[in-house]
Amino acid sequence: MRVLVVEDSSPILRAVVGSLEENGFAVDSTAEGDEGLWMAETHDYDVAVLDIMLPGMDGLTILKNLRKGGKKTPVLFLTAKDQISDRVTGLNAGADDYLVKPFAIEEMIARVHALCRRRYDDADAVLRCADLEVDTLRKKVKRLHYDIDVPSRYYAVLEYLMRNQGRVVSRTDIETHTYDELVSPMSNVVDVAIHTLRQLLKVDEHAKPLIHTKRGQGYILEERD
Amino acid sequence: MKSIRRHLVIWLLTWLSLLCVVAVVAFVFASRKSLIADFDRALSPELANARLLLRPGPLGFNNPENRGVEIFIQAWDSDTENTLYKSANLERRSLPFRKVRPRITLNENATLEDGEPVRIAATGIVTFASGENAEIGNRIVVAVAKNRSQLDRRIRNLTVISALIGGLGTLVAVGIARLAVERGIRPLDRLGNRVDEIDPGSLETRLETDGLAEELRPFALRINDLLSRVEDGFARERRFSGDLSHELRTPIAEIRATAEFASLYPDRASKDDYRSVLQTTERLERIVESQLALARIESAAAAEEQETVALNDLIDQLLESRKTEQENRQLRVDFLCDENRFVETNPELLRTILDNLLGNALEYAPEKSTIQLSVPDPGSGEWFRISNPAPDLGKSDLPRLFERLWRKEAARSDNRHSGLGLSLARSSAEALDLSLRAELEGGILTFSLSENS
Repeated sequence: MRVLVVEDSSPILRAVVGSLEENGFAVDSTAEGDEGLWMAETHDYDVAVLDIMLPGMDGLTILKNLRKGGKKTPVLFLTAKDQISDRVTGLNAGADDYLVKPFAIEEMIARVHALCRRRYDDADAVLRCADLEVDTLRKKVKRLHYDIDVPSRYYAVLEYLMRNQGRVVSRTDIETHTYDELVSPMSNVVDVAIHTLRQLLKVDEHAKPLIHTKRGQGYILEERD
Repeated sequence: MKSIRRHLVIWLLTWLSLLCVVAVVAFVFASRKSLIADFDRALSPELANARLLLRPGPLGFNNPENRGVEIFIQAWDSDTENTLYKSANLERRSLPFRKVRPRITLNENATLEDGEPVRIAATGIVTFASGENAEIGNRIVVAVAKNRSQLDRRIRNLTVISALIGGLGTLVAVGIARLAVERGIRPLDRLGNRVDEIDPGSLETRLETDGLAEELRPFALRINDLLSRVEDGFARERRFSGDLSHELRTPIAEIRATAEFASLYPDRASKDDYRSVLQTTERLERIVESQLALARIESAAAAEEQETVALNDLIDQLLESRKTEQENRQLRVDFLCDENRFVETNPELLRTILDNLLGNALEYAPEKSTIQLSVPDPGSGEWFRISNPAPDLGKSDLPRLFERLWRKEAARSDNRHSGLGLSLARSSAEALDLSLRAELEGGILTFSLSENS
């Protein structure tokens, strides 16, 4: 899952970005409001975490511009504005959630997860496909009674494929949603991730392959006889 | 509870009712008097006629009943009260004797023995000897009377009708009075309802003054004026509360996020985190210290210790202490003053004022611009003046310049300041009974510290 964080306080930005990365999210960040809007408009983020009081452009204006442009990216406001009227204004402007500073990192992570689930219409935090289970909260992967230790850089790809199971996802889609903007479009990180995931999911000789290649289109995760 | 409406209605009802009663009584009394006077006037010729008829002479006591008029006549000897004549229609009854002197006429009500009500007119006459029935110089009282039943009935009818009209008039007056009070008090009611609707959540409401009664306009204008002030006060409080919330919550959030992140993911913690926590704590400390300083200054105890301060020396010291800031931003500082000026004041508070003003100018004047400082002549009442270019500041910012935690930058990202410096300067000036004002002319911001006039 790819998340945008726009926050002008560098200690908070560092902690939020670091925590999200540790939880398997690909994170892009900026401290400037206008740059944040540009990034949100040009990339398809799964969640955007916005501060309200920002230099360049405030969070409410970013959100209004996003909604005006038809972007439905779920937005979590992270702000020191704690008045009920501030929360109402934020939510009425189209925000999906509101977290007042100071906040617990774990709560912020849980809320980002919840917004991701809402985006993909998953009410359950555990995603299932055949005998494969992915616990998106605890980042645990299980198959046929085997616990699989998936490195975080590959876990994001697996979770994305699970959320889109039965649908063909292109290499670009995977890059957009699971890697931050520092990843070169020419790199083979996706191919490497898919190859590694196939190896990891083959827990024994009875485990059927779940990730399939659609030549010229991308990959699909589904159970096949 | 006192009610203007109730008071007006009761007052008007009382006085209008009283007025109606007095009017009816006066009318009845005047009409009754007029009817009786008419009756007496009608009786007067009969009395004159009776005097003629009773005059002794060849006619003797002529019987007036021959004229067919229902008039009772009786004549008495004034001295002996013996009846000299009595008209036949009196039969066995008599008119009451009254001793009346000649040329005097008495009119009064009387009741005959059988209960018949009459109105009497009596007068005295002096007879002259003539004929056998009269003696020279006899004094006679003659009285004529007429049944007054019709007169009494007319008076009674008049009284009843007048009372009815009076009662009806009172009711109509009451109705009109109520209507007048209701109509008269309606604008007051509307104004009251409008004022009643105003609560802390609708302070932007203003009372309509167009078309308002001129007696109420001063109230509405005054209330509108007060509402503006209260609204400004609430807005200032809200801004302060929001700004304080941001100023305190953000550093706390920074410390908490940094600590929590380092605790959850120790592998990713670094020395930078400790440095960040330290810087944030220092910022928080500055905010708390400034707030405490403001509270101390406002307690008014701070200004008690006074001594003689050389203004120019103090300014030189402050300029020296901020030399690095000045040089870093390549600012030119012109200090205009001919000779040292001494003032009797609290040196710490004065230092707070001047240091904050100087710091503000050094921070916000554009790079390579000029800051002008001056210590005006003692006669001007001004102690200190500082000007610097402020291209980003507008006139609308001036009223908020001294508000606590106010910052021109809405994002409040600059962590070096909390927006308390100018508040501290003004509070210190007030504690010293001085006035600190800001003016903006042609993009130049000037602060002047002067004695209160």
